[in-house]
Amino acid sequence: MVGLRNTLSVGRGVKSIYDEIYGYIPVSDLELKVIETPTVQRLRRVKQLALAWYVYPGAVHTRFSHSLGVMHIIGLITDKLINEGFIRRDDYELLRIASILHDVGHTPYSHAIELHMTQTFRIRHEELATYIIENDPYINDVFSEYGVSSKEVSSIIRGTHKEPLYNMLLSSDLDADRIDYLLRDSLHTGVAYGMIDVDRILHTITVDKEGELAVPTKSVQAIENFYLARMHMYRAVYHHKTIAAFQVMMKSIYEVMLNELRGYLEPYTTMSNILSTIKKGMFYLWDDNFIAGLMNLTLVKNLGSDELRDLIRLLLNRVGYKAIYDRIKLSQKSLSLMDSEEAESLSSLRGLITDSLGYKDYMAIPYVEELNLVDEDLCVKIVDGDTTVRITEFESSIINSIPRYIAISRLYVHPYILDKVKDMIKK
Amino acid sequence: MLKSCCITKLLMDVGINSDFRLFKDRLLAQKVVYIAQTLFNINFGYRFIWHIRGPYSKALSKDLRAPEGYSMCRCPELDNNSVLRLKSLINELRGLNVDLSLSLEIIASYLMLSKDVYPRPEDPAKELLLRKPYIGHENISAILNVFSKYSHT
Repeated sequence: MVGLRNTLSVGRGVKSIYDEIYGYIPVSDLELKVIETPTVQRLRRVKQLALAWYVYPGAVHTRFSHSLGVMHIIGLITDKLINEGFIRRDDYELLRIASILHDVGHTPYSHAIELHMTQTFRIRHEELATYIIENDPYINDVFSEYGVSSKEVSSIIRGTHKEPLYNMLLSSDLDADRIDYLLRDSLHTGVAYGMIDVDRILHTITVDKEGELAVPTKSVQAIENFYLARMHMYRAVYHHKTIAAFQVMMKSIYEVMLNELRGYLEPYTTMSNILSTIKKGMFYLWDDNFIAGLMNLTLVKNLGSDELRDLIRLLLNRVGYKAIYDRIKLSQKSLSLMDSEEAESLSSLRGLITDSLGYKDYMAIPYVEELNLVDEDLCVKIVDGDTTVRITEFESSIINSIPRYIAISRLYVHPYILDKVKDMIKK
Repeated sequence: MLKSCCITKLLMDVGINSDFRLFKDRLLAQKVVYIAQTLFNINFGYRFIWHIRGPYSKALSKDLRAPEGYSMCRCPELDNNSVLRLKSLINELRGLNVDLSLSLEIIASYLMLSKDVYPRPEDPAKELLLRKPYIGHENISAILNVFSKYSHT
């Protein structure tokens, strides 16, 4: 990745931040001020991969370094597209600012607790991010000083900016977010098949005559590798059986704490409270440390129930939930897994465990995910002279031979009840 | 969870036969669902981004490619009056000398430019013409003329 690394010293007076992948990343005064806000600094205390470090000890990188990386990547792409006449020079900083802020809505422990948020409040981190950008006092102080429109920044994250190209740069099959997280997560986990040929992608990415992101035919292999890397990372990291077990366990702990130690979790217990903390400038305190500290305090001060303290002890000592059912299917078509008989069977089995054996709900958790690897309608386009086709229509591409969907069905149970559940299934 | 069968049912109710294995039919379904949600309060709960070809929902795209199971289809009750008004709009659009999918793309794009997109264009119709010149000024005017009958109620 020679082309990506800024090995030359940056100019005098220009601030820069050293990144483990790209080297020195220069930042403007405005960008630096946004980065210095408590709301962005908070991302230093939210791990990118939540509890993946239980399996890959090096995976302790944060949302902060990822956000800087996305800013850098989008800057490189934008610079190229400005030179080709597709983006206004004035919007370079706007796109970089949106990139710095695209993940500010992540909950502590990223997707582990986000799962609770989506199930309980039907809100995802992108929606929380747009609310933060429009209401966080620290960010808005900086925006006011520099005349930045918070609505315009949030519209890019929401995918509703007037320029569709800007939305695609941050949210499409080939966006800056994915490019950085594949590189960064691959580096920190050591999962080598997550690596991508980012140099080729960034040096050849362009816009086709319809206004969509595209690459020339000479980059087809780089794009194929990009899709394959995602497929491998989904299985080896993002939905790894053991990592997912710890994330499910973390969600259970959080939900039991919400019941038993609600006062300690205020003001992050309801959606209206969370939105209120954002407006009051207190959101930055809701980080991994906050939850980890409360888990330690629960043990030190003997708070909550025996069950809660047991769960926390198990997590801290790396004893996770166990999968008593684990099935991964690769398919060319969506399997509608959420509505499938398999999902219903898992739900029934869970019902048996909780009703017949009398165990609490959090002791048996179904994990049903269907991942769409290639968005057929919006996948990467390949430019060949005057014609443009989606990579799924590119005759010689191996994308036509790889699965479009990965379906994962699992049932996790608390380690204490594993044997009894196995006995029940045998009977 | 809503699946392709519910969208198929809505499309059939408004007089459109579709085959979601085809890109053009999925594109058309995207526009119908956006218009249904935004103009007629037939809410399927999809979130749309602003794309070159108008409103686009990744979740809907995924649902449209899910296998059909029409006999098992469990869809929410839709307000009959809203469905009839959507059908009426589509029928009027069929009377124009423009491909139906293009007409729906224009209306869905106009709606999104007027309601969801930021910075909001001063004149969404002008913006449309700028972005989709291939459709032609006269066609866009005719389509928006039909649309105006449904946009104020």
